[in-house]
This record gives sequence, C-alpha cells and structure tokens, in this order.
Amino acid sequence: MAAHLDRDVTPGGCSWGEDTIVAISTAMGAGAIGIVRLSGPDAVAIAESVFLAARGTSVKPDETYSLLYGHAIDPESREPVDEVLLAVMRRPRSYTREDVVEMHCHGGVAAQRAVLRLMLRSGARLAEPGEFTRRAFLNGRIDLTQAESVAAIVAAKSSGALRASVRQLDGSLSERLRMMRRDLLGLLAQIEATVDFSDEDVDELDRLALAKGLAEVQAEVLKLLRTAFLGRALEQGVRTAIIGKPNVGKSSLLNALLMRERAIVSDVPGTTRDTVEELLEIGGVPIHLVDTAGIRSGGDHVERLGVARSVKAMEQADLVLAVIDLSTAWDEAEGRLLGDLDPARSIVVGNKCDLMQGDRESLTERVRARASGGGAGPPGRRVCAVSALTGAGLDELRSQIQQVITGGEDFQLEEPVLAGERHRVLVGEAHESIGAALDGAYQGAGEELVSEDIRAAASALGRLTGEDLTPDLIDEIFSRFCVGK
Amino acid sequence: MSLRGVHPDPASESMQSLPVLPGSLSGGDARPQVLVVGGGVSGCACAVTLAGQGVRVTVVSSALDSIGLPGYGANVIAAGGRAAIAEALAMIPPPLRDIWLDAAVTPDCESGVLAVDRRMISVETKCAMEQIPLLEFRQGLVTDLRLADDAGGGADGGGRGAVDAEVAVETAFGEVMEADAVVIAVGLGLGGTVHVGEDVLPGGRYGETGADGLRMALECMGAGLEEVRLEVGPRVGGQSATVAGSWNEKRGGDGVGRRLDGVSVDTDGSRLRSDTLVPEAGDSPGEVECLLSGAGELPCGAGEDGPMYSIERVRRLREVLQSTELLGGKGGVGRPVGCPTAPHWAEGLPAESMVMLIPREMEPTPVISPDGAATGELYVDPLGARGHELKGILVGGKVAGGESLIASRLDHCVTGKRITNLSPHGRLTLSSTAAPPDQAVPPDQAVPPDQAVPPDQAVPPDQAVPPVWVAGRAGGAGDYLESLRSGVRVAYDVRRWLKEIRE
Amino acid sequence: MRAKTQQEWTYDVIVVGGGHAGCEAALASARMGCRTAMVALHLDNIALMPCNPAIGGVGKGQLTREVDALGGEQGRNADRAFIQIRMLNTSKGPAVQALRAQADKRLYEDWMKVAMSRTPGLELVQGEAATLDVSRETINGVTLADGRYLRCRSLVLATGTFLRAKVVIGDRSYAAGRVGELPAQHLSASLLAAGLEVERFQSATPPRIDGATIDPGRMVLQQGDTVPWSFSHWQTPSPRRQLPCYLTYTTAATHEVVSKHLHLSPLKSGSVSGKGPRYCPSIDRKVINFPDKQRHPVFVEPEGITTREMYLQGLTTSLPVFVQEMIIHATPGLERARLVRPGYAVEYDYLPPQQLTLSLQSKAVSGLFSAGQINGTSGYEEAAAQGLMAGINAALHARNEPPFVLRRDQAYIGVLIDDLVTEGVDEPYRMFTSRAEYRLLLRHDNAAERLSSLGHALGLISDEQLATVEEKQRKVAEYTELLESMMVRSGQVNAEVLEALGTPPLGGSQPAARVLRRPQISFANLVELVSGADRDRLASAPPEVIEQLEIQARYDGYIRRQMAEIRRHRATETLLIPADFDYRSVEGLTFEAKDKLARIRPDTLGQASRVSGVSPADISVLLIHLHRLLRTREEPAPGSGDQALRQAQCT
Repeated sequence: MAAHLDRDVTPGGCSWGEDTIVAISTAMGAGAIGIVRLSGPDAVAIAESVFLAARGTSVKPDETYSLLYGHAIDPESREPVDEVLLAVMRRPRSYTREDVVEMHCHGGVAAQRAVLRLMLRSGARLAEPGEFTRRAFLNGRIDLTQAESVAAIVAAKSSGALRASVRQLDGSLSERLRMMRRDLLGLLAQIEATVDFSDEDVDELDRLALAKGLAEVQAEVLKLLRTAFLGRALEQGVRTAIIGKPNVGKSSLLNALLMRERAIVSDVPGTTRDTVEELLEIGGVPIHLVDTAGIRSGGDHVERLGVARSVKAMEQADLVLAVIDLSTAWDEAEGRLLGDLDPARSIVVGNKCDLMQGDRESLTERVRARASGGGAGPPGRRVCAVSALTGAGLDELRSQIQQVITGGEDFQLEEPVLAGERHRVLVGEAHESIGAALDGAYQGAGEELVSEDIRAAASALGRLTGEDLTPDLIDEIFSRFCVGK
Repeated sequence: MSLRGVHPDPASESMQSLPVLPGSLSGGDARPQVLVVGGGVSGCACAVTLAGQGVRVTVVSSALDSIGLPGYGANVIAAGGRAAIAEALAMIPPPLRDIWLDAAVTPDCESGVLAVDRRMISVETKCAMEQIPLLEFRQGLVTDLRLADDAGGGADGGGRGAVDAEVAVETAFGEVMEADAVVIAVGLGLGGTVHVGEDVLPGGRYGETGADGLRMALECMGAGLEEVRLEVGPRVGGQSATVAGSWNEKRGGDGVGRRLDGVSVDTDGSRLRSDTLVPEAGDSPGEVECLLSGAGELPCGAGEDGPMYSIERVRRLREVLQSTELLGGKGGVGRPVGCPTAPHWAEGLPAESMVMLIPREMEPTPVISPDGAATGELYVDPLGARGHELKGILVGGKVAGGESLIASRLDHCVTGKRITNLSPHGRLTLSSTAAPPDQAVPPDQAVPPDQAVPPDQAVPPDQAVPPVWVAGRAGGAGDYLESLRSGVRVAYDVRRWLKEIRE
Repeated sequence: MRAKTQQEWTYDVIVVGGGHAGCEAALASARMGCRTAMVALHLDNIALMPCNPAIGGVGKGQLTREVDALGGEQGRNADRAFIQIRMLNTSKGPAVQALRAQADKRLYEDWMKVAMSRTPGLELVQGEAATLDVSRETINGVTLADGRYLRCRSLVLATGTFLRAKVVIGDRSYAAGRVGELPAQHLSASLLAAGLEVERFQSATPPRIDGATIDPGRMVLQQGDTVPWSFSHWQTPSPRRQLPCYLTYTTAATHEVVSKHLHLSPLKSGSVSGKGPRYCPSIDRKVINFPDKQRHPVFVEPEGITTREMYLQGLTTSLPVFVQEMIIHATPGLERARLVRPGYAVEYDYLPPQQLTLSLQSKAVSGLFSAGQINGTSGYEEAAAQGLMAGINAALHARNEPPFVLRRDQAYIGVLIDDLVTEGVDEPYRMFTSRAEYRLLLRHDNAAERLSSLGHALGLISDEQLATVEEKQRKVAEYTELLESMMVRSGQVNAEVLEALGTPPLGGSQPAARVLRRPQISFANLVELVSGADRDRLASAPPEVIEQLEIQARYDGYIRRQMAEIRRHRATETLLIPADFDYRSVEGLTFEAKDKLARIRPDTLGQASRVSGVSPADISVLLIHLHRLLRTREEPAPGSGDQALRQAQCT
C-alpha cells in the first residue's frame, strides 16, 4: 500500500542538497592545520564572501579544482582573521558530489571558530554529525555495497557526537538547559493561552512581564554562551604558550608549574611536535602548556627558528605567558615581543623576582613598567611577578590564568560549560531568537510573531535536550491555565 | 406561530397572558399540576390545551429534539374526507392547528388523504410550545409511575422527601417529578418493540430508547393492556428512484386533464416534481420504462385491467380547506423574515412542488407521498402499496441497471400495548365498566373550547381512581388526527377534574 | 410476515454513521463519482449537534475553512444556519484569527439533510451496521442488524460516540448513543474480530435551560459582528438578525455546591471508566484541578432561533440532576433559570488512531477507513475534516488510485491527522493553533490558495470555483511585483506623513514593498505616499488583494524562514517507507526506535521523525537504509542515486 503524497510534488521538488552545510572537519586542536569545509549549492559563494585572495589570483568558475592562498576576512570589517589556503572542488567530482570548498586555517582553534562563525553568518548551516558522508552516499558518490559501512559511519558520527555531547552535557548543563527551556515554555504558554482561548476568560497578555521574563532567560543564555570558550577548553585543555627570550626562565617556570600541580598524562590526541607540550590542571581546568623552550640547541639559525616558532605558538595559543627576566634590563627584542601581545589573552610574567628587593606591589609595578615597555604597550595588561626558583607569586599567576579562562567573570567550575561547536551554535541560535522576541515584545509586535521567536528559541534548546516542543507546550498551558470549553 | 416570536424581540408585540386557574401557584419553580409523559402528537396537543386553560403542565420526553414529531408514517387517511379533517382540526388549539395546516399537504382532487412534513411539525411545534407560559419541558426517560399512597418513601437521591402530591414519575436519571395528575402519551411505548427486518429494537417507535418501567407500573395500578400492531411503510431515497410511467387521458371528473398511468419521479433530488408529471394538454402519450419496482413491478400500461394511478399535485392543507370554505380566515404562518430560514420555508422546496401517487379506483389511499421538505425520501404507504405488488418496494425497488433500489428506511412493524380500561375521556377507570377493548372510541362531538365539558357520568368523581389519563395511541388512537383529538379531549377532562378537586 | 431478506446491494463506498464526519465522507465520495451509501442509525438525526451548537473557534475555524476550500459541506452549512457569527482575535495577527458561529442546531441538521438528499449517487440507508465482512484482511461489505447485506470496495467508520455507548449521570446510566437515541451495540465486537484495537473514552455535555428564565441584566451581553462574515469561500450568507450570547461567572457559592456533591459525580465514583477530556473539562474537574480559582466563565448561548433553550458552556457536568439545578441557581443571572435538559456524560468505544495510516486507512484491514470521534477526537470541525479526507481516500481506494494526504505545512487537516496517527491520543483530541508549527502559513484567509487546486484535481472543486481562486492569486502576484518596482520618494511631504504615523522618514527613495513592511504602515497609508499614476494603480487594488499584501508584509521575514525550513524537510517529509519495511533488521537504530517504529509503522520518514523516542541519529540511519532499499528495488538507470529515489518517491 504505497502511500504517495499530495499530487503537486513536482519531480524536481525533492533533492538532498537543498542548502549549504559547514563544519570544522578536523578534530579540534589536533594539528596545526584546521580545515573548515563547506558543501552545497552556495559553497563557493559563501567561501568567497569570507576570503581575500592574494594579489592577482581568483576563483575560476570553470576549473573543477583550484587551490588559492590568501586570508580569511571578516566581510564587514575586511579584517584578516587567518592566513589560509582555499581548496575549491566543483561538482560532481567532489566528496559529496556537490560544490565543496575547504579552508585550511593555520591559526589555532580560535581562528577556525572565527571562520566558521563568519560562514554561518553568510548563509551556511552547521552540518549535522555525519551529514557530509550522508550527502556523499545519497548523491551516489559512494556505491551501494558500502551502504552498510556508510550507515555505520553516519551512525558512529551521529552517536559519537551524541556520546560526546552526553559526556560533555554533564548533568548540570542539561538540567540548566531544561530549566531555561521550561522558562521559555512558561512565557510561550502565556501568549498561546491568550491566542487559543481568547474567547474564554484568560486575562490579556502582560507584555511587560513577558519582556522581563525574556530578559531573565536571555541573561541566563548569555552566561552559558560565555562559557563556550571554557567548554572547549575542558574538552581539549587551554592551549597556553610560554614565550620569551632564551634563559628568561621559561623552562623553570614550566617545571615550577608542573612540580606544584599534578601533571595529567592522558591520551589527548595532541601530537607532540617539536615543541614540549605538557598537560596540567589549574583549578580543575586542564591546561595544555606548550613551551617553545623545548628547542635546546643554540645557534643563530636555531635562534631565528625559535623566535618564528614562538610567534606561531603565540598565534595558536588561547593564552600566552610572556616571561621576562626582571633581573635584566628592558631591550628592543623584549619590547617587540610584548608589543603585539593580545592583552585579553596574555599575562606578562616577571621572573626571578627573588633576585630583586621590594614587596609584592613594588615588584608587580616593576613588571607592569617593563610590560608597558616605557609606555609603548597597551594599558590594562595582566602582570605578575614570580620566582620560578622559590615558587613565589605562583598562586597569583594561577588565579590570573583561571580568570583569563573564565572570560573575566569568576565563577565556580561546577557551573556547566558549553563544549562542542554544535552546542555553542544552538545556544547561539536560542540567544538570537530570544533577543528578537524581546525586541518584538517591547515594540508591540503581534503576539504570533513574538511567539514564533520564543518557539524557535525553545526548539533550539530542545534539540540539545532531546525534547519536542508541542506536547510540552500543551501540557504547560493546561496545567497553568484553567481553559478549554 | 411564526419563528420570529421565539426570542423576545423588543420590537415585536408582547404575548397576551392567558387566564391562570385560581389556586395554581404561578412563577418560579412551582410544582406542575399536570405531567404529560411523552412529547409526541397527542402529548403536545394535551399540554397545549391544558396550558391554554391556565393549567401549569410539564411535558417529560426522553428526547426533546423529537418533540411533536409524528413518529410513524407520513400519511393520514381520514375516512370522512376533507370535512372530517377540517372538523378534527377545528378542535385543536390554534398554535398546533396552524402548524398542521401548513405542514400537511393534500391532493387537489377530492380526497381525505394527507401527507405530513414530520420534521416541520416537530421543529415548529417545539418552537410554538416554548412560547406558551405555564407549559414547560423536561428531558428524561420515564421509568416509573407512583401514586400518592404507594409513593410514601422519599425517592432516593432525589432528596425531594415524601411524595405529598397525587402522583409522581421517576426518570432513568433518578429524577422524581410530582403533580396532581399525569397523562400517559407515550404512543406505542408501553412495552413497545419495533421489528425491522431481522432486528428487534426496544421502544415505541424506531430509534427510541424504550423503557418498560412505566408499563409495569400501570399494570400494577390495574390498567388493562392489549397489544396493538402498527405497520409503517418503507421509505425510498427520492433521487435514486427514477420512476416514470406511461400516461394517458384523464377520465371523467372535472373536464379534460392529463394523468400518468404510472409514476414519474424526477431525478434531480427534488421530490415528485409536478411540472414533469402532469404534462399540459396536447402532449402525446408516451411510453416510459418503469423503474420504481423491485420484486413486484409497478404495472404500467394504459390497459383497462391494469390498476391505474393518478399523480395528484398537492397543496398545503390550509389552502385547500380555505378554497373549499371549510376553514375560515385568511391566516397562515407565512415565512419568517430576517432569521436563518428553514428548508420547509425555503423557495423551491416547500410542499407546493410535491405530488402524490394515488391509485384511482380504490378509495383514495396514497401509494407514494413526500416525506417532508428537508428529506429527499418518499414514503410508501403499506395499505396503498399492498394491492399493487409494490411489495418489491418493501425491500427496495429497481434502479436503472437492474440492481434493486434499496429502501432508505425498511418497512417495520411496531407492537405496543394500549390501555383498555379508559373512560371515553381517556381517564384510567378501574371498574369493569371500561369500554370493550376492540370498540373504537366513538368520534367525539366537536367541543367548543370555552364550553364546560359535561361531567363523565360513567365514573362518579369520589371513587378512588388514580389521577391518570391516557392519550393518543397508548389509549387506542389510530392515526395522527385521532391522537391530536384525544390529547385535547383528555386535557379538558383533566382540567374539569382539577376544578372539581379545587372546590 | 415479511419474506426473509437475501437482497444484496453493491456500492463503491459505504459510510457508517450520519454525523459530521459521516456526512462529509459520504458527500465527498459521491461527488467524486463513486456510488455511495451512508448507513445511519436514524435518518431523522443527521449531522446532529449534541454538544455546543457552534462551528469554528480558534484552530477549529481554520479546519472548517479548509474543509470548505477542498469542497466539503460544513462551512456552507454553517453559513445557512448560523444565528451569530464573530471573527475571534481581530486584535491579534491574521495567522491566529478565526471565525466562530453559533448555529440553530435544528436548521443545521435540516440543511445538511437537504444537501445529502440532493447529491446524485448518494443513497441514505437507515439501519445499524452490525457485522463487517472482512476476508484476507480486506473489507468486502457490511451486514445490517435488519439482515440486509451491502457490498463495497471501501468502508468508512464514522460512528461518533455510539459504539457500546452509555449515558451517565451520578450513579445512574443506561445504554444510549446520546440521551434519547439507541446505541450501536454490535459493531465493536466485529471490529475486535477484524483485529482492530478498541478502547473507551468519555466526554460530557452541560445542562440546557429555558432561555426565557435568564436574567440578562446580571450578565454581560455578547453580540455578533455586523461584518457579513462567511465560512464558505463560495457563497455569501443571507443577512439575518443575530442572537446575543451572555457571559456570567461561577461564584464561590457555585463551587461550594459542586465540592459538596463531588462524591456523587461519576468521575469520582468510578462508574465512568473512560478517560475524561482535559480540553473540555467539566465544572467538577475545574473545581478539583483549580481549587483557588475564584470564578470560572459560563457562556449562556442560544441553541437556535427555532428553540428558546440555551446552552450553559462551562457548566458541563454529570452530577445528579438536583445538584445541577443547585449549581445553576448559584450562578449570577441564572438564579431563576429553569433546567430543561440535564447535563450528562457519555462513555463510548473509540479506535486508537495509531492503527491508521496517514490516509486514515486501517493498517489491519485494507479498504477500511475511520473518521471523527471514533478516532478519539472531540469537536464537529475535527470530525468534518477527518470525514472529508476519509471519504476522499475511500473513493480513491475504490478506484485503486494512490491516496491523498496533506502535509503539516499545507493544512491544519495535515497537522490533525499527522498528530492522530503518529502520536495517538490519551484524551479526546482537540485542535489548537499552537499545535501547528507553520501557523503563519496556515491562515483563515489563504485556505483556498493552499487547497482549492488540490480539491479541483480530486473533482470536488468546480472549474469556476478554481478560476476565482486563481484570479485572486494572479492579482496578488501582479500587485506584489508592482510594489517591488514602485518607488516611494523620500521628499518632505512623505517625511511628514511618516512622522505622523510614528515611523522614521525614508533615507532615500525605497521600493513600496519595503515601506509596507514597516508595522506602522498600512496599504492605505502607502497609497498616500505615492502620487499620480502609481496612486491610481494602488487605489484600484481590490480589498481581498490588499489583505494579502498587508499580510505578506507583516509576516515577510518569518514566512521566508518557515518556507526555507519546509524546503529543507521536504525531502524527508515525502520519502515513503514501504509498508513491509523491517525495522528490526536496521543495525544502528536504537532499541526504542526499532520497537516504536515497528508498532506505529509510519508512512513517511518525516512522520517517523515525529514518533516519540526516535532521535535525529535514528532518522539518518533509517534514511540510508531506505535509500539503499529503494535503489536496489528500482534498479536505477545509471546515474546519480537520487534520481532513482526521486522517481520512486514521487510517482
């Protein structure tokens, strides 16, 4: 009994690549190179909108495969985000038999995520786990015999993502999400009661109360979003680079931090390259320390190489510890090194304070003076005076590290953190929709429009917690209001 | 009684109040003086008459949606012809009389045959009765009847305390209603069963939820019960009964006219439309294949031996009686304006466009008549059809293509009990002088509404006879007109009794 | 005595039941050219309104509009018989506005009987359908209690609340489909024998009072709208005097009476076993569930122009009659009201709808369809919508053509049926607009645009009717284009006009369409902002086109977002799952998904995704396996996989 659907389904009406999907396709932080991959009809257009090719080169429409060097840019501000390689593979000779574009980023996790966010903003949709493989199969790129394995891959990726998110979605986070969704449903029920039972005795919608409720939920969601950074950190560790001129005590600082804290040895899929990478925990947050001090051998060549490596490590790192030697004088090289530090994600560490006189404040002031390089550095820099030898100031350094990780707000670690890009995107969607609903409530938009936005937010959170909207909404209405005739 | 007056429209004139019998409490939830059990033809006639005489009456019916509904066939065959019809209707109180005059149709030719639009009567009767002060309705399936002496115990659940009135009835939902007198007007509902095809249903008419408690209670009171059978003819879905017969010269009677020697039913869903049936003079006779037949073909053909049918245009009874001066006045309900109209008032559907099939040679019993404006069904009278092998119709006539036409409603037989020991005025009498069961109740002489009813000699008032009257078929009435009349007659007797116990 | 009947009649479609579902099914099937019989217990009780004599309401009104757009009868019939009509939610957006009409219940029945009687090919048969003739899981016909046998290729069950029904007040009850009507005693056994699941539901109706005994002074008057609204797209109702409703409230005294006698309520005493309706709660349930609510609304609604009885909406109860009177008299405005019909509960068999496909056909018996309250819904509108679809699909099945199904993004009817057959019901289902995720698309004003071409393809909408719809669509498209191209200049004059409307002046000249999108700007304002030939063109736009232009402007961004989502899901929504698909063999599906899907056997992948307990991951895996199955079965021509899939799925 083949049930066929309404008669107006035109044959062309159903295909599998309606929209363009995007995802970061290499495991986060695994290697230096992160790939952000697009597939779908607008893949090339979206990629071009966030890419500035090096002089004289451009994407050629007829070439089935082209590789370009250039920079990923923010379309509005034209600011470069990362130095990238752009690989364009035109259909049908691509992995998914759709237009596929890969942007090979060099910057660290932050750059990949920035590129991803830009692409989402110009129209791409975050891919479901395993969606690329699924499209490849459905577009006939993978033949029937491999169907079983494809299904397994898709299942693994989907359930893998599921397992991963469940692991990350520890109890308190999913509970927090459920609470937020419950609050949204409560607000939605107020609107729906005045809409569906307007001919009954349901008092008019109190728009002010609605706006207040929305604002509260929005704040809650914002708090969760802000932990997105921490979330990823929990997953792979905060990538922290210790840089500085040779013999300023980078390695001793590293050892001091290690000796004091329990070093975690785990099979974090990081590959140790030519840098020494250690994993330790500060205040419950795994720190992925990368010490460029690993280059033991001397010599100019090595020296040049060392500095180049420091610069790269600095770019890739979420946090930079710039070590200076308090016992030596400021010099040009140090000024240059500290000059292009991002104050929000760096701490200037004045080492060997044991060699100096003065109490903590005066030592810290000395480091601040050196850090500003005689007024050259930006204000509001984080500084700390320590002695790797005696361990003085290490606690101060540890709390500063924790502050940077938590985005400046101090909160206890049991606060749930958002791990994984999918969660961040979905919570982001919810936040955006709640904002639209809030504007609608203030500007007196129609109830049905405000309800659409709240509904979008609640279903975005629902996709995280696996609850579907309508049955819960009906229950909410009938438990909260005495309606129905 | 028009639909306009249903809801007090400030603009419309207020209804003049009827004289209220002294002694009966008025207003509020005063107890009714009379309970009429059963809201059929006789029940309504009785209640309307009582209320008209200032008696507070409540009609208790198992289904208020079928108040006033003539529950059986569509035909009334008055032995005395039109005069008898006019005379019977004369004694019916105005609101009902007007409804029946508008809802009944009768053929042009001189005949005592009526076909009634049952649905119209039901809708208009309920609407009219609601206008009458002192008359109230209550929906409830009556399952018990108790008299003062044996009704001592307080009804359970009812919380109404001991029955201090003469009589009380109880419904299936446990409600107890008391009154001074009760009129049983449940048609064939006393121990009624309906036999339709192989099915046997409880109840006094098809589709009714029957209840046997009332019959048992009456028997305990000494009522003599005797079985009554009523044949109800089948109905045929109008639009599929494509029936046409041959036609020829209309013999004798008032000049030349055309008449069909068979039946022609139009097929576009409107009933027996007159314009296709009685062709104008000058058309040549034609032979049309007959389709309304089943096991029994409807014989056609112009031969002398074959039974001949005449298709008679029908008109509202009111017009016919007015044209023959049997009914004075120009009155008539007329179409209500400004309300959603009903099919029986809408153009194109009402009675004027219907016709009836009448066999010519026997006394004019109808064979096929319209069953009402709203329904597309045609009613086939069991008497009329019997002689003409329309038996086939009983199980469905023939439809084009050979398969027999299904009856929209099978013919069925209703058996019930009628109460035999009744006074001529319908009151339950316990002495043996009750009228012999088979003797039809003598047609009553016309009783002018305002003249007091002569005391019933047969039953001295003081004998302890329960205040129970029986009207309509439960008392032996044979057709709708008899039911109407018996309702009115019982009402007068009850009122007379009420006046006596007041003095 | 009559001869024993061995007569037999043959039909394409038989409909059992003469209520709102049965009538729509029979009319649709006959109008599609099938020889149809409607078997009803009593031909005097067709399309009865045993509960609130009203059609429409928020959510329900949209259903009636859609039935009308597809060529059904309910909208037209409501127009013939309404005694009050109002558009609800006029202060809110068009997406949630809906018509509600109070009808004269006797005239509603009469006019529906007229419509049934004048439809060629439709025969009305009075009788009780007793035994279904089913062999090899296929319907062959039905035997009536009176012995007649009717043969058919499709049969629609639309028996409302009559299967083994009993009416209940307090601890008293007796067998009746409704008070005063016989129940259908035999059919349930036959359904069980045919392998159908049967369960019990319960619903209730409030008492009626004599309208002349109310005290309007103590109640709030509610008049109908003077605007000539009509449910039907195809006719304008005759002008008429409308009757008012009255609003009053229960008081603490009322609740006190209820709570004092709760021990007598069948709900409490358990004599009513079916699950009660949460969506139309009795006053007993309201007092129990919301003890601290000071008052509950009671709407006193006229039951007709042909009767003075009034319906007490909000006082639904099955407490003993004397308690009902006390409750009524404890309510302001009804102190001296006289009870005419006691309220009562009715308990009846229903068929859990998860045993149906999206075309409302039984999965156990081919050719057997069911529609209306027997599927566990409440409401005349829900019944009519199912009846229409079941009638259409019964006709298509009789002509062995593929069934007709509406998706959730096409109609409330789609939402209704998808909810029923996918999630099932644990209480009588009622439609709300909040059930429709594409509420902005499924509006009262665009039912014809959405559905009439489908109705025409089925033969239920005439060429002329379709022409009027297409003409309007053409005009709307024409004016939409015009607004895109017509520019509004940002001169001083316009700036003042905009200022007055409380919206900032234009930066530079903008297309009229963009200006109209500002919430403060109506079409009339727009006409002010242009001059000369442009103004004449705009001013000549017909009102129904203006309405559509303003709605498109109001919902512009939201509709585009919903259309994108629909396109994204279109592929999964329309991917069919073969009836014999074995879920157990699909490795990668969770255990719960395997179990649920095997039991519910959804028709499409979209429907499968809405089965509770089935995750997006399960759907991805299922998609792969289905795709492989379709490609192997179809032996696709060389070339891309989805080509084969498209053919398989869309033929």
